[in-house]
Amino acid sequence: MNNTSKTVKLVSSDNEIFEIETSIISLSETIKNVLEDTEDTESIPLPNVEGRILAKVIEYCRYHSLLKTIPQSEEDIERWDREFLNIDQPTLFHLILAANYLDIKSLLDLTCKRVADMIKGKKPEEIRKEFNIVNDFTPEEEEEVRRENAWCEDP
Amino acid sequence: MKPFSVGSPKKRKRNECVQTGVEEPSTAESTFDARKGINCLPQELLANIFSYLPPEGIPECSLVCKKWREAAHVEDSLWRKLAFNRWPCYVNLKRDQSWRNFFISNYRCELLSERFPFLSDEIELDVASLSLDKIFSCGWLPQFDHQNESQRYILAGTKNHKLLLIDSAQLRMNVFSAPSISVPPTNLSHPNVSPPCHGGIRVVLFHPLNGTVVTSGCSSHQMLLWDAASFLSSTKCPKPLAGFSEHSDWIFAADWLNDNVFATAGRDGRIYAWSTEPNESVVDNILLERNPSYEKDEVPIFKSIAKLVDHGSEHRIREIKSDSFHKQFGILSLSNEEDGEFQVWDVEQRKSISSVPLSSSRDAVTLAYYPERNVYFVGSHVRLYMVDPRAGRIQKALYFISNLHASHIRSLVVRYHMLTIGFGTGRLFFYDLRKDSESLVRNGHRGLRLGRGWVRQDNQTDSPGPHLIEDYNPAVYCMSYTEDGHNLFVGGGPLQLNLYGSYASFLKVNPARLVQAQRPCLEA
Repeated sequence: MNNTSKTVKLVSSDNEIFEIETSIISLSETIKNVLEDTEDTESIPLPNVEGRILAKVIEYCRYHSLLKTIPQSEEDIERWDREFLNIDQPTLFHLILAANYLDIKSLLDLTCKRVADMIKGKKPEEIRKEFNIVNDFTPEEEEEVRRENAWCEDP
Repeated sequence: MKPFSVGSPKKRKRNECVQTGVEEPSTAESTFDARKGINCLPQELLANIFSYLPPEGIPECSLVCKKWREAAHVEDSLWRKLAFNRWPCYVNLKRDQSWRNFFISNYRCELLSERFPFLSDEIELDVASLSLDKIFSCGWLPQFDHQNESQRYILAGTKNHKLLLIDSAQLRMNVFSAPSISVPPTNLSHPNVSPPCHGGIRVVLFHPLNGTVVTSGCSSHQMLLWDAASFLSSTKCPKPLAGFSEHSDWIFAADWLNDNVFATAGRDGRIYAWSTEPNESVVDNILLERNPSYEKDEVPIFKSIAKLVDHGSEHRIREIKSDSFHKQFGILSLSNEEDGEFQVWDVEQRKSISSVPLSSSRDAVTLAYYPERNVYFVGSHVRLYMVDPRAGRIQKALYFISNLHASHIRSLVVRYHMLTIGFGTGRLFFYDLRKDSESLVRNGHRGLRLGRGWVRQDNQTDSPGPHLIEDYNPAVYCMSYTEDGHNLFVGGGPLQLNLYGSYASFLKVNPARLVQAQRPCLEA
């Protein structure tokens, strides 16, 4: 691990530059692959990620790579993750896109699970209200969807 | 699971942008549009979110909007993930099956298996007018009936060599006489094959995929191959597609070894393998010329493609159940001294790989295979054995003490993790195989009691006396579940040789009937 101090510059879509240790950002498979392919990369442009989102991603990677050297209790990690996700919906969806694009599995899991928790136990109408979605089914289409989903009803 | 990669970041040149592939349709959606909110996420990410929901939550999501419905319906990775989460050790996709299909059918099975003990609304058929003797074998036609949203027709075979087609929706029955197929002697040095032998139609075996069925023939030594649909199109007996002849005694049982090959177990102590594909084992033309009557039938007669087991006629083989995954099959043989033995054979090596003697196993006549745990169940006079083919020993013997005098397990079916046990005393038991092996789900301590069917004394033998008929309960000789598990057909008839009669009924799911589970009596 002698490259712990080695850094790389990440450039966001709005041209914010983040200098970060390669050991930390290697949580992203996408960036890890770029770094492996090209030895002395100095900066990587990320045209799909806004600066404020990239900052969140780096915050996540920093904490979670720190866990490798300074272990924390499960509860502490859970609390940190919960605090981390205390964000508005647009940011959360941005973060999902970024986690997917940067291929950070644990962050993708965390954020998707968070959205799933917002859906869980809700009726379709309540879900639409939660996410501000317009029902674009005709009554006939709705009936058809109901039919194709009858599998989970009690036999 | 690998996250969904949007474009491949590998092999990028230095300082080049890490871009999402321009050709990806989701790229446009990757740029965030605040007005679209959650629906800015591409379909595969929506599906990934759904995969963290309990399965019951998926239908609710499908009803939200078109995009969500599409994500839940089309993204098979969602269903793959749901399947692995729910059954981490048991994921066994059939060829060409989608994960959605796999998940839904297994999920239904789970719901159903919790309902099994409540399969108890018996609809008994009036079989008295049909003069059928002892329904030995049965199976549901694969044809799906859209009106009933299930399979509708059952084909059953009787001891007096009738094939019975039953419409479960209208409870109508049609009786066919199995046609006699004249077979030229297959062995020139022994031209005197024994005359047609009436051991009953003990095999009705549907092919799981291709819509054919094999049954015993007019002679119990032979098998016939049919197009299942041909039984629906006419009131006359359809013409078989092919015949199979080589056994020198009754065929007791059969099972598929693979898609094209089935094996039969005979009273002659032999197991033969037969191919349903056209092959060179069709009885030789020279032999056909010596038997002109064959030409009129125009039904090709096949010889076996292999003799897998030969125990000799003093060890009749009562049952065979195939385990196509391990390329093995289990057989149940009985010697003339009534000593039972259970063996597992390897199909390719054609040798026995384990063997378990069954002590005091008089009337060990039925066998079931449970693939999820790779164990066999053997039903005998008063005991149910569970045998692990790898250990080659009995793992557990269940003892049905309440029916000590005449339990006679006559049929076993494993379906949806539920072992259904049919007794010679007209009762059914249900045994949940996923729970700890000691929990036996019963409908009351004596099992679910079935109807009486129809019975009379066989005039050609000594009169059994009226008391026998008074105490009479039909033995459950065969059972078959529909694919969806909503309907169980039970066929049977008298256990006593000198009684003539039959019993047939449907048991349907009745979720309202709740029954307390009870513990079994375990043998010390």
